[in-house]
Amino acid sequence: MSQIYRRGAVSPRINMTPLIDVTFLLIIFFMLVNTIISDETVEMVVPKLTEAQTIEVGDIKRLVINVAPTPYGKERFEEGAYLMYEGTEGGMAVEVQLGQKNRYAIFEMDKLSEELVKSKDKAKETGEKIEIMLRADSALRFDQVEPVIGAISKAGIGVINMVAFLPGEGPFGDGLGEEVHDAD
Amino acid sequence: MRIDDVHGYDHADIEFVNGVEVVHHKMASKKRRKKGINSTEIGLNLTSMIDIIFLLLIYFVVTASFTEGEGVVIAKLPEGTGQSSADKLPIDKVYIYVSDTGEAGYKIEVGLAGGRVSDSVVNFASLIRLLKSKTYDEKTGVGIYDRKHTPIVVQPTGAVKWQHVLNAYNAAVAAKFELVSFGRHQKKAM
Repeated sequence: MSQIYRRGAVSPRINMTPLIDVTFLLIIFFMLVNTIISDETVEMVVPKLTEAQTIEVGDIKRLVINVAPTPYGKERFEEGAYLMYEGTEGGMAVEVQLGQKNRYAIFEMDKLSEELVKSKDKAKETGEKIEIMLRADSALRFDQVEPVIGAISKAGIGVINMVAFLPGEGPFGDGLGEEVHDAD
Repeated sequence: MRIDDVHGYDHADIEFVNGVEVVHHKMASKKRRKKGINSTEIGLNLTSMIDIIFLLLIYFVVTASFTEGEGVVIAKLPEGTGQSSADKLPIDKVYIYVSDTGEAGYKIEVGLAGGRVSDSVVNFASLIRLLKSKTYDEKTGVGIYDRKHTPIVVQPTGAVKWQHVLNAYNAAVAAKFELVSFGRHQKKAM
């Protein structure tokens, strides 16, 4: 009789080590990505466009400017009338956030401009190209967003990427709590 | 009595060194394992850890929000000294006037500077159609706007929602105009 048969029942075992390795890596990845993204983007409803010409942004070094009315209640996202939201002071942008932590009031746009110039110069030294992403809430009045555009322009930045939903994405309805009434 | 009868060892496992009995334990334990008497294996039970790791993984995958469905409309801001070059014919700017009608509503008019409105449309789909129909077509020879050279200015009032402003801008981009910009907001609705 051969050696194998003589040993009797052999219990099969799976080597779990590589599985655990990979799983740990995935966990760390999602934890990091989650915190980075949530720091850079404030929760808001960006504009939803008719025949949207929006394009997805590739892998670029971006500087996100968030313009959002505060505070946000949960109903902001639940009801269809997202455009009717007026914030605390009637569609006022209470906060402008640059990058992950720099926050400015809407009347401090000179400071924002200075900060943008700094980032621009820094990027110039390292030879990197920096792209400005303007994330403004759809329910904001134009006179609240205009100073921010002015500040970007004043900093000598020629191109703004204005964030909106991609075609076919975004909340249902026209934002006024009514059915969509497109002419087509 | 033989010595292996007492200890349970083979006779060959034991030797006497200076009168002291030395047992070769390696051989002895091997023999024991074969018999299944004292067979313990050291191993970590990883099952519970894997359970928890998977739970964590699922949690982070589900809660990760990658700012879903957002893209960008690219705007080129006006640059330069503000002086027009003399060798080019001045081209009239086309203004898209977006004014608010209260309750987050809007009104769209298209015309020349100073509020000289020539057309009025009800929504942005119609605005795109209007701009396209007014663009010069080489085949038919009809149309007054030039995609490359006619500057389009989106001119909103201050109270218009950003959604409508960006929509107007998007409409000009959708009609393939290359020079699109924002005007300063006006104090009063047109």
